[in-house]
Amino acid sequence: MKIEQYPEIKPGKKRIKSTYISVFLWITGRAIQAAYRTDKDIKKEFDSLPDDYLVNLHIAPNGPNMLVGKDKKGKAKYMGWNTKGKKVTLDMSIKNIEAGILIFTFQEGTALGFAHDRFIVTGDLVDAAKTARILDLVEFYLLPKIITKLAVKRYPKWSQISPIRKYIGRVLIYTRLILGF
Amino acid sequence: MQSPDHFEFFSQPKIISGNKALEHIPIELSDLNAKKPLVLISNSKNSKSKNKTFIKAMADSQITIGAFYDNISDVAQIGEIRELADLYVARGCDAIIAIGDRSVVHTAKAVNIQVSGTKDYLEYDNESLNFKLKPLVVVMTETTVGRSTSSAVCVDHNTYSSTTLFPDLIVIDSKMLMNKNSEITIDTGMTALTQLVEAGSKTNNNPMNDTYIFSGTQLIYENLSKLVKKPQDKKAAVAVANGIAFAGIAFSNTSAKMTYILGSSLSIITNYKPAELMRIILPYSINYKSSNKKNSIRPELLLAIAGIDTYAKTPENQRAEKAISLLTEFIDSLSKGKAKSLNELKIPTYKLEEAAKMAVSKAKFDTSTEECYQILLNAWNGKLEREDK
Repeated sequence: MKIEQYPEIKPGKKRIKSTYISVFLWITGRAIQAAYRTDKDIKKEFDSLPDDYLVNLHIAPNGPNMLVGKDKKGKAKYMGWNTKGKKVTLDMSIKNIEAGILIFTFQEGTALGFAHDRFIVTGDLVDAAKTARILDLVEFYLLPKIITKLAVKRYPKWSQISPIRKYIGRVLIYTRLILGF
Repeated sequence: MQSPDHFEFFSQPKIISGNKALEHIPIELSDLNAKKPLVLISNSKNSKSKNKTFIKAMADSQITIGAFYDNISDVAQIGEIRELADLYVARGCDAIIAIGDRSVVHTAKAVNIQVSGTKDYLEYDNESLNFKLKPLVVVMTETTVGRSTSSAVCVDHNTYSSTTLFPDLIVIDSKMLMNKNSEITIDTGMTALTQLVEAGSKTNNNPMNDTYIFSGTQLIYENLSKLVKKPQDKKAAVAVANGIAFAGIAFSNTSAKMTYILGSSLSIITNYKPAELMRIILPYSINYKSSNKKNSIRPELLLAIAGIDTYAKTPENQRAEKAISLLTEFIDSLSKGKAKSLNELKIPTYKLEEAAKMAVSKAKFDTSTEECYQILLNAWNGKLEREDK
């Protein structure tokens, strides 16, 4: 056997999928910040998190990442993608880019993703559950019902969130997301 | 369910099964402190597309494939094992991934022994193999049989078992189960079914092994016919592959291996495929056991193959009998257009005697050479004992 016949192989990159997830996480991160200022339920949920809360939702091993935490005033803030110099209190890692695509294209909802063992969570489980609830609500505001139903475990009823609140919230969140305030 | 006073059960592998399971390999290897595997794959018709699929699945990870060897022989051979061990060392690999059939997995296990130990592979046996091996991942394909997920290694027809030889990870992904040949499906499914039914027919089984046995039997019984009819059925392919993986683990934890070893021995003597021989012998073996050994075929088998409704409707003393008849019908349905007796394969009876002797010398089981010969003779005649009665 000639060893040279069997060279080392460095598997490539999935740039399109990686770019899609980067954009998705960027929008979601900014949307959480906007939704905190718009929706009382999201605010209440976020306020109950610890003061030093900083979540890193990312794809293993090299990202993309989304960092969302509390600023000095305790408000939700999107903190970009770079973890350098930041103390992450909750690390939510998706095991690979394909699993990320399944979850972020809503082929698998967040709950199903957890059930299929796509995530590794390091940190307080209560914080992780709260974060999942915040993400579900943000998706509810950002996406049309037909897509949100794929992503969340239970779509909120009219009695829980009225259509008026939903549509006003959606306009405000999108405006704040684009303008960044 | 049987509950013995004492039992031992060991299963090392983590099983990852389903959509995008292949993509989970890098993170699992990283958990095993490995990032440069040697990949071995069988040289089959569609191996090129499998190579591509595998490499694509490793993208965006920290994995570097040390070497991708796709020229494995049909039977694991010591010369090839030594060369592959050299390749492993030269490239500084730290794990082995075996993709495909039995010969690939056995070669991978033997290479693992060679690179993990300090001596040559041939100097080891099941007793001296008491050190930790490098991480081994088995990726199941349509040709993977239950023996691949077991604790056995077979090189140049010499087999031995050790708990350290279990793979660390078994990956079952529909992308790697592309199969248009129903012959292969029947062969791998029947080999696994033989292992499962054999393991389940032990009179003093343990509840842990029962879990694998009955789950595996159910998966194969419910999905094998579907897969034979519609080879593109991904769900059925994954279910059958799971059944095959369970068979390997259950088989490693039982001493009941008569039909399997009879089939393998006769295969060595006659050169027929072991799976084909096992398909023919299995109904006669079950029949012989149920007629001659009390409680050897357990009523729980009916629950696995027919479900709770049929199990509940059938009187307790008829459950084993019903299970045997359903199983025989099932095997018959998969044998259309195929030989149903050893006579139809034109195997002379003196070879049956040789096979019976070889089987008894290979493994210790509570069946004598005469009994083994009788089972083979029944399979040769193509007549079940119950039919005679």
